[in-house]
Amino acid sequence: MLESIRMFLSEYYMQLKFIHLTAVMVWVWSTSVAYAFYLVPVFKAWRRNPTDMEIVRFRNWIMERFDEGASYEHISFPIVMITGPLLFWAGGFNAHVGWLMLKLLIVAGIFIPIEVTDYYLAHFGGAKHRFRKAGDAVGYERAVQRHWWFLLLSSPAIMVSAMSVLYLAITKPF
Amino acid sequence: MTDQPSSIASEEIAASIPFSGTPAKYLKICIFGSIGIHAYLFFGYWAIKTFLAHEPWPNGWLVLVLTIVSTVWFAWYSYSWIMRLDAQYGRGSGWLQESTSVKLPWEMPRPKKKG
Repeated sequence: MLESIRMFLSEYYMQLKFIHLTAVMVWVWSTSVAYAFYLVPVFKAWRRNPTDMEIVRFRNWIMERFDEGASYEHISFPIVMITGPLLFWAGGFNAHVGWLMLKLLIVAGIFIPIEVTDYYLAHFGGAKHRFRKAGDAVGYERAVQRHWWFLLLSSPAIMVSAMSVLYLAITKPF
Repeated sequence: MTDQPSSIASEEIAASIPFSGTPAKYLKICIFGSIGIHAYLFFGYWAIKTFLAHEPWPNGWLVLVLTIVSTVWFAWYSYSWIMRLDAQYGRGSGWLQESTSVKLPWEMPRPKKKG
């Protein structure tokens, strides 16, 4: 049964790869413009002027729009996580493939923990709109600051590891 | 969806909860974070190659030296990234809107005509 499913998937390996790569592109790039040109400049202004109410209001608005804008990223990530193992299985890969093993280590140890945290901050317990609707101004401020901590710490790791994974997947160097 | 969240903003609260990030904390996090990530990748890859693939680990120091160089580089890179992102560096010319006063053409003193 499993073997026949694997045979079926391997016939459609390239189509599966197309879905996987499209989802990877959406996951990696969908928030980049909003992040670099909207969110970051406003947060920098807030860090220089933390009690300027005009900037704080704008920061809050941008933060909530960014929470919602991360939806594309967070829809495509599960698609990557489903199609990736299917490609591994259908393609008959194993532990001898060095570039793939290193790529999987990065995915399991860096991408998945970061994305789980990001889901929580953007859509679940850490989502800013929840605090606003509850009228919890202190919780709201703490949630925005927590998200800024997350963005500060995760962005250098994401930049380097995402580029490394793309390089490994495209060039297959070892 | 189009709710304006400005109503939640409060000067008192913004002033009473300062952001806890400092350059010293960032440096510590970057050093230990880089060591942690590289240790995980190094030993994880070694374990896969040794126990799953049953391949001999390459002789020599090259892999270890590359890992150490990468650890130092990533600690430095992530620290400078975070400091830039958190507006600790720079004059802010890219994001601060400073007020300036300009004189409109009709406000400029006209040059005196000769003769």
